Amino acid sequence: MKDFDEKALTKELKIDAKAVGIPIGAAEVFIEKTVKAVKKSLKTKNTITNNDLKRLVAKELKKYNTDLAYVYKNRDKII
Amino acid sequence: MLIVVCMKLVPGVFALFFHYASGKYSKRKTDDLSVFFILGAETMVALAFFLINTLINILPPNLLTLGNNILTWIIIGILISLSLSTFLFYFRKGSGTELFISRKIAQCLNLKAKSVKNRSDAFILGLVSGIPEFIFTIPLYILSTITLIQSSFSPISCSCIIIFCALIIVSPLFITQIFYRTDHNLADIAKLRTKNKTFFRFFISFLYLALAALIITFRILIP
Repeated sequence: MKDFDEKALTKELKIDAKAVGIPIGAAEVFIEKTVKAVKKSLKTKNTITNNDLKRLVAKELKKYNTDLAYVYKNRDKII
Repeated sequence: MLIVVCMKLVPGVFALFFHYASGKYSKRKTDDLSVFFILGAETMVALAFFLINTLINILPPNLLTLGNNILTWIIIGILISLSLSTFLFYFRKGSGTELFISRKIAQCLNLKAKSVKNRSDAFILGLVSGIPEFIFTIPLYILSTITLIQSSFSPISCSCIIIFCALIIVSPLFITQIFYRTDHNLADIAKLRTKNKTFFRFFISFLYLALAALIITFRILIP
């Protein structure tokens, strides 16, 4: 079990966003919004599994960029 | 060779590696690293050929001739079992294109692809990423090497053929690189892989069976 790491998630999403081809400025704005929304959802829960957290982040990301959400959700299922 | 070209592990690791590298580094550094990944993959293919060639040369010459009926039937048996294995468990069940390799190895490769920092990391990743798939490819390398040994080509020609084969085998990596360079991303690649998953499962299975049928025809029925 480990604590939710906001910085690590933001860093990871920024790398994915740059790789997907999203301009840095736009990516920073919606990544911040996504992380805020995820943090808000987590306040109501004591624990959450990695898969559920991933689904939650992907659901939030999908509002802004479908490709980034798809990459975040499925990159562990490629190999 | 077509069967090895259709294998999905090395292109998958390369797609992940390219994704992470382009997210972290400049376009120039990503291209530079990807060249070393491809060189690593090529080296592993060439190494596999040369190691098998060396092993075959150590064994008694009459043991590994395709004219030997028992050996021919063993090879046919292996090819048929590989065909069945590809059909049944090359791809795991589920939405993505998860392969037969253990999840720990997949996670390790994913982690390594993410943490590539320099040329040597990229080269080593390219070198090792094909190893878990050897269970499906080694019989093909053995078959190709035996065919090369039995042919009348000179050692220099054999080496050139092996280098040429290595280039063909890593061609999916060049295609992936071109795909990335034409404004596509990992999401497009993952979607394409998922879309063609069933086709490749049938196609690789069929190729193994076709190879077995060819060997039966040309080594047993018409020797």
